[in-house]
Amino acid sequence: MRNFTVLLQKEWREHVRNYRILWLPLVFLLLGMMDPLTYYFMDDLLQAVGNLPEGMQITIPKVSAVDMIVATAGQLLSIGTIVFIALYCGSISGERKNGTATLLYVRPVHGGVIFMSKWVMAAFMGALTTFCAIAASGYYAEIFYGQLPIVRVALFVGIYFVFLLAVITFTLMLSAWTTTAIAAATSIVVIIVGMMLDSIIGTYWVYSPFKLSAYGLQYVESGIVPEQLMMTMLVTGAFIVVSGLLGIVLTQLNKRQTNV
Amino acid sequence: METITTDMLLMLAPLFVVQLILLVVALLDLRRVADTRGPKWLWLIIILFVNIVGPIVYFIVGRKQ
Repeated sequence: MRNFTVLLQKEWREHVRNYRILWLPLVFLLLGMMDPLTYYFMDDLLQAVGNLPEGMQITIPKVSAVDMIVATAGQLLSIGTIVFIALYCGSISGERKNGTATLLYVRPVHGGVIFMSKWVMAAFMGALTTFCAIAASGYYAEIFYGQLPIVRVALFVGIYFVFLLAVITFTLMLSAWTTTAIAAATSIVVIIVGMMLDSIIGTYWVYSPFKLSAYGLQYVESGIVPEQLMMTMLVTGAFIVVSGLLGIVLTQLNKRQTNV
Repeated sequence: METITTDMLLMLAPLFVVQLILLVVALLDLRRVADTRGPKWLWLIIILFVNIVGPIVYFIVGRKQ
């Protein structure tokens, strides 16, 4: 436990030193603000840059506050996921490459402790950024389009966070296993292609981690809990546990194979 | 098109503030690090002149971990 606290402090210090603790939430704040603002000022924007002919009429559909949350959630799922993969794909393999890992490996620290300290920090950043994005989006949505169903949005944040945890765990597991480049490429391909496959031929199965985001969006749009949600949560939870355990084993394996 | 009102500016204020902080943090970081991926002066230009996306791209791509 002592080891874990020390390593977690090290992770925290690293995040503070490279300003990640500051800029990552800011990026997600911007991501959250973008959609409500562009929708609200769409009219002015089109007139300012559109070069439209005289008398052109565009009907912009009436949107509600929840639609803004849905739009932001879409951004989170694509851009947010890629940002997290890009940032955390090197967190274990990078240390192996630049030599920090050797300093750790010669000490009696279990691989699980190393892996978990990184995982906890990444999960914390995930929670913080998700909150920032949804709060920024919700703030503008409330101002422009009226009342938001708070409970529904909060539940959606929870669902999205579980999905993000799955992404983070998978990325860290790959990072413990191979080099940074391979880890980044594999996790991006698996997650993007997986999402695509799931939307094309996903009708043949109902439970998969990829479906979790779709169910979350469905829920926040309609307010009805999809009946498959609970089971999908469990499947995703199992996926997180399995890749987490695998990551711990791989970190430990790496530790044994290091020649000092 | 109506002129920009103070109301509109107030609504957009948080956007500008966040962008400004991001820019300043990116510049501070650029000054502090010894080396970046790619030439340093190029990153300076990107951070200063590419709106919003510039500092973000610097943090994700430009930093040597």
